[in-house]
Amino acid sequence: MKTTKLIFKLFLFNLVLISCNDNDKPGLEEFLDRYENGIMISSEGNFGDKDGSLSFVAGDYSFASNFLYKEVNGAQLGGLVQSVAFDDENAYIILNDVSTIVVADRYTLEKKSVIMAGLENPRYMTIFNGKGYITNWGKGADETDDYIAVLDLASNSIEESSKIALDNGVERILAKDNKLYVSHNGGWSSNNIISVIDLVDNSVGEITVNDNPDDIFFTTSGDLVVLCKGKPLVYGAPPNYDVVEATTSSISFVDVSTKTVFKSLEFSKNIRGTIMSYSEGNIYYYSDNRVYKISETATELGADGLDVGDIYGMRAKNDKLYTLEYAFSELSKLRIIDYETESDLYATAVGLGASKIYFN
Amino acid sequence: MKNRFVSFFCFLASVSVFAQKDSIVNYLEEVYVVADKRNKQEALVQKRIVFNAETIVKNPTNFTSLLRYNSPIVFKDFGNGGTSSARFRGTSASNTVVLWNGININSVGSGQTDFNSLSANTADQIIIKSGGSSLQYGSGSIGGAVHLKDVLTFEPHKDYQFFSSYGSFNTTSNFFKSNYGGGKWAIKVAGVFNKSNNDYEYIDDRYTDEDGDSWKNENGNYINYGIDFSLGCKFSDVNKIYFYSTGYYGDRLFSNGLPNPSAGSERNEDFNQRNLLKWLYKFGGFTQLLNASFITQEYRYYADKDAGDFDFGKSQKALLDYSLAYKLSTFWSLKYLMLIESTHGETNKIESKVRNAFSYGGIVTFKPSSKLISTLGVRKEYNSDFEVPLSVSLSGEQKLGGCIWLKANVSANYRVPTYNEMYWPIAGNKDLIPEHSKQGELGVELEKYGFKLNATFFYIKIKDKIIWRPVRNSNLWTPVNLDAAVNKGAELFLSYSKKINRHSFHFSGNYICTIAKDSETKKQLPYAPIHLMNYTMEYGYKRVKMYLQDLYQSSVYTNRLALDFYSLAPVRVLNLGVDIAICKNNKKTLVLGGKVNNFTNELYYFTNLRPMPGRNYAININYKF
Repeated sequence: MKTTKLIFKLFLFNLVLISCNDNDKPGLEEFLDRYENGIMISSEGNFGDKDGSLSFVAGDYSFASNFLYKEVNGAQLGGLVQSVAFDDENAYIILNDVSTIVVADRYTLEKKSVIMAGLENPRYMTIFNGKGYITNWGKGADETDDYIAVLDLASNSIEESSKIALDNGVERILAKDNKLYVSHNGGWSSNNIISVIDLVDNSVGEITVNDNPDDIFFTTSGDLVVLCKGKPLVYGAPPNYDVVEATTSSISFVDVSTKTVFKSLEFSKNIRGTIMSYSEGNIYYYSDNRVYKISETATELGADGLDVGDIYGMRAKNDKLYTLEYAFSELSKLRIIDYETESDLYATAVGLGASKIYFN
Repeated sequence: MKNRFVSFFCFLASVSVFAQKDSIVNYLEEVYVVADKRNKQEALVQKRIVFNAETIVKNPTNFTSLLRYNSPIVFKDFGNGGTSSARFRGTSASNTVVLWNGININSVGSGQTDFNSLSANTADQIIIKSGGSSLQYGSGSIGGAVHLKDVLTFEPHKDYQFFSSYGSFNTTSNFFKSNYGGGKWAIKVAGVFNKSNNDYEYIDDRYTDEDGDSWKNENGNYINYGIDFSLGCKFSDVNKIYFYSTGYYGDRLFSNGLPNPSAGSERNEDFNQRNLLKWLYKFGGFTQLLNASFITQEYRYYADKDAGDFDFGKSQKALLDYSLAYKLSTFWSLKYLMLIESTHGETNKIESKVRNAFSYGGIVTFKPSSKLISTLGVRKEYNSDFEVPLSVSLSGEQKLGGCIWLKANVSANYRVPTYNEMYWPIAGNKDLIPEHSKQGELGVELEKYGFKLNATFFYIKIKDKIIWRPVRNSNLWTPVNLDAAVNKGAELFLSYSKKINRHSFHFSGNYICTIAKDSETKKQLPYAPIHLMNYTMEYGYKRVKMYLQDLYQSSVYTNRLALDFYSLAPVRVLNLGVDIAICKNNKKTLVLGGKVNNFTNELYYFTNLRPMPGRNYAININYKF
């Protein structure tokens, strides 16, 4: 019987050994009444996991805070945060995979309204004249059902009758002088146009650019700058699957009055620019782990870039570069870099799959 | 003293484990841990829980809920009736093997089984076996196995059972089963039919529609039906042949969950057909068992239920499984095993691929006394697609005192990459190698005064886990052999039965504590709760029986970050049921039952923002004749 007792003692001892300890907590748990004078970061989360989130970093970097919306509202946003649009009062948080826009107070992040009807795979929104214009892919596999949904900001409802049908793969959208400019990145496939919608009569014009136009901005002189990423043709070996062959990527400049491309800075063969930002006459673009800065009047692409590693989002302002590390199985890291001195000003962990930076 | 030392040494040195595939298990009334058959030929270490129709009728709506309330398995389902996967001991869904009459029926594409796309209601026995057993079941048997068995017995008998239940959300679950034995012949015919609108209210008041009203589980309807036919012929006591066949069709819509249930538009159809021919033949000290099986599985996935186009996946698997056992002496017995398998799989995205596998192995069992049995087994698989590691298993069981058995096992198990992981367009990774694990377990089993207790400590080390990871600068996800993990913990099963005059009391429950950590991050793995507990408590008086089902699952992380934001709250659900035997005699039993599920109307989730039903009701009739 001695053996039996011994075994039982071992058994109990083991129970104590493996009795379960608690998990560690995230470090960032500071919350404010108002999130202003700082940087708002939206994190996509993973497609289908409904775990997109918002983070805020104070302008003087005195603190940073993650997962804000849930903290304020006790509920999750509940989808992949594709992008956020702002007017003076509100933040319009666009959830792509659940076809929903959450309207919250821009500074307190308190929920005001949730919009679902009339959206299908929403991407980006621009605000003009009391209306929100939202690009929608429709069904991902369907190349003929892309559209712009029109949101009445007063009633927070989509005006079904104002829907504007567009060619495949709508993406970024800007409004200027009663016109909408939409880049057609191509959705699940590829496209190579910028649509111009005249809001007077809803007529649609097209400007052909290089493949996969994504980021678009207006320069101070009123030209439209388009980042054409080029269409990936051949992927490399696992596990990185780098794009080894692609069509021409370029930064193209469009004269919107004549709807013509008057300048196109093309990347070398199979080299792609993938993210672009604009600040005070300068274009910052990301290509192969480096960020380059060129003047909007430049006639060729930059030579020396700043190595920022693998990033998924980027914004430039006053020569400060804000980058978001590509991370879908870790928390992304926000880095703020002084572009000229190449010195790091600040860094912090934000949400999973962080992708967009907004100044709030 | 010396003898004891020797036998204990043998015990520690003993190797392996190998439960016979056709092991005969007592047909008991309730969930129980299989009592040891000391006349067995092989050591049986892993903890097994068996249940039959009596348990099934308490949770008849789907296989997920049946196992969730009665087994140590953790499920992740996408809302009630949605895709559902099973995890043993903190391992992954593709580390769980599902066997139908001994044949592995995991999907060729995903390597998993969707526990809401098969019905177990007509199975005569469901056996839950924790722990790795690649020696017996090959690929995927790292965490544990779920067996569905049709039992054919030749003793003259005619048993019929009809069960029908109807409840909230227009949910109905029905089955009919007839088992016949006529000396030479044994026949089983069964059918199952389930249907539900499944449009339950989401009781999470943080998410409501514009008018502040609760959402409903839109686009969650399902219907499924199946038929089983089995036939056995006993030419003589040593020469028996069995044929099993089953067909299943399931048609489900997939709900979208919160925050936007109205966006749900997906639909999925499943067509499964399985056939098995089994021949058992004994001659001069040898026992040979031959299984020949042909299985087809097909799914059709509609991203938009109203559009005609769908994605599909089809597979056919043919296999020949042979074993030959020989009793060498009173102490020693040997067994030889062999399996030839040919799998053909295709989807609209993967062109037709054929994978062939051949494996063979041997098992030695040493049984010096009725108190000690030990087994060593080795299996080697040759696969047309990659190198497969050797499976080894060593186990022993030692009786201590009158009512205690001590059991130990060490084994090496594996899981080969699936078709999707290897061949999915662009994302598929042809450089993958099999996941492999080493595990050890130590258990005690105790049976006395109506109590049955089984406590098992386990330790599993898994390497080269296949994880889907995002690929930079693209929307691609690709599988890579990346993570290693160590899962350790304890699994406990307890049951107790007592009858005093016309009062009867029964309890059976599981508790499992799992510390499953990523070797690199040292954090608890996603969807691996540290604590899982379930039990059923039953009290009967005369013809009335009341029972309580309780389920507790501690918080789980939804990704490898292990942060509170990416986690699901602990789950606690209580169900209450009553059964009244209207008529009970030797030939017939007619029981009317009623059940309130989730009677405390608790809000609970198994995946983020896909709420499970609140309080709901069902009534049923269970007629055996």
